[in-house]
Amino acid sequence: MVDVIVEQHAWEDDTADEAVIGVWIYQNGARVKKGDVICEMMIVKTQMDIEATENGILEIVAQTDALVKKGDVICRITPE
Amino acid sequence: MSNSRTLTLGRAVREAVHHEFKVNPKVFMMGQDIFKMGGVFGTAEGLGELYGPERVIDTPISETAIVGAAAGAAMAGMRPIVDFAYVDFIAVCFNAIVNYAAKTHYMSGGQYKMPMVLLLSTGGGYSNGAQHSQSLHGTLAHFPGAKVVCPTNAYDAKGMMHTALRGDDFVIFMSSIATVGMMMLGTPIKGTLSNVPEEPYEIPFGVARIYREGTDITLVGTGVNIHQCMEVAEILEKEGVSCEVIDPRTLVPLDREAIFKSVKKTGRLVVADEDYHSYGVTGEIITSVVEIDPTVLKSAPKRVACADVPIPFARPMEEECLPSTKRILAAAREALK
Repeated sequence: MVDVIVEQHAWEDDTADEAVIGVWIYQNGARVKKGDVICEMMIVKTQMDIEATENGILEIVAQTDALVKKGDVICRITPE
Repeated sequence: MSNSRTLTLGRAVREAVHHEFKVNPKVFMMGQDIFKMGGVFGTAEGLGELYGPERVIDTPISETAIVGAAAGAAMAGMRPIVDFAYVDFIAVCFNAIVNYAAKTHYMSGGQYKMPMVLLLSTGGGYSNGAQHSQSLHGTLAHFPGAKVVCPTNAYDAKGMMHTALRGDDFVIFMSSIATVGMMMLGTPIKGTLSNVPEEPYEIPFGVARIYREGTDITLVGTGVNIHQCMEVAEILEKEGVSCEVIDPRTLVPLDREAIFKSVKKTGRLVVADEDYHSYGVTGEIITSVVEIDPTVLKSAPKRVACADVPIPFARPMEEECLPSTKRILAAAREALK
């Protein structure tokens, strides 16, 4: 199982402390491929796509509207 | 477990545009800040790096020039998409739209086609002031020669964009800003998100979508207002009232038959549209029912539209002027009396 985290370089430090989860494009249990955009996140006024880092089954940790910080786990992907 | 993708309306439109760019070298886009920035509403995101500045053309701030050039390119056989951002600025290029884009096919006896798509963002609710908040649905649907489409969810938006880009007609493609899923405006409205297949598909113009079937009252809504109609339907359901909710999906051609059929069944009609109250879409839809047979109505039809004033900047005043769940609910209660 691989954690997908909010990367340290996701945004510049002085932009904001937190981002908000906007849309999960794939739902819990979906089969995702490495590179698929799986989630849209928002940092202040900038929209950011989160991509799957592995092939596998998606488990969502941070739900829609959740606030996340750098280093937080937003989902897990279990390779089959 | 389902492997389907839930997309925002904006992403779904982008997917259709990317696909048509890939399969048809005649498709290109013009607009302000599209090459590097991807457009004000992200419509062109990712296109610039894939297709370069010759097909993703950044223009000066002159809507007049953009629309005129695009209409000319369409006559010469290209398939331009104009990323226009705010609908309000069509005012400066109305000659190119009304007298050229909309009429050339007819006036040339069919010798010239006009396969051009004008992408417009509409609607208020964000304190953007009177020049960045209008809908102007009625203005653009009024003159003949253009197809006018207003998708309200991701599934329809993708299919309608494919239809627009594959056809030979001038298509005015309007989306409420509130429905496209721009995160800076908050979490997307749930009803705008849909499961969207990866493969392309077309949705025919002129066919309404029945969002919800019902028997007591018909609520017709365009753009963001369809989602408010759905909220009203949920509230009224708890009171034992069954609402039928209809999205025309396209204003030109308008599926008058579906609306009449529904009102014939329910006997009551409320129409919600964010364009201005007078001389607008709401009046047109009501007329298309009563001119066939006014006796199908058990009560006076109601329209919920933007007040006939420049849309205020001040948030509470703007809320008063625009259609809302509250105002649609009040109109429905009146119609149900």
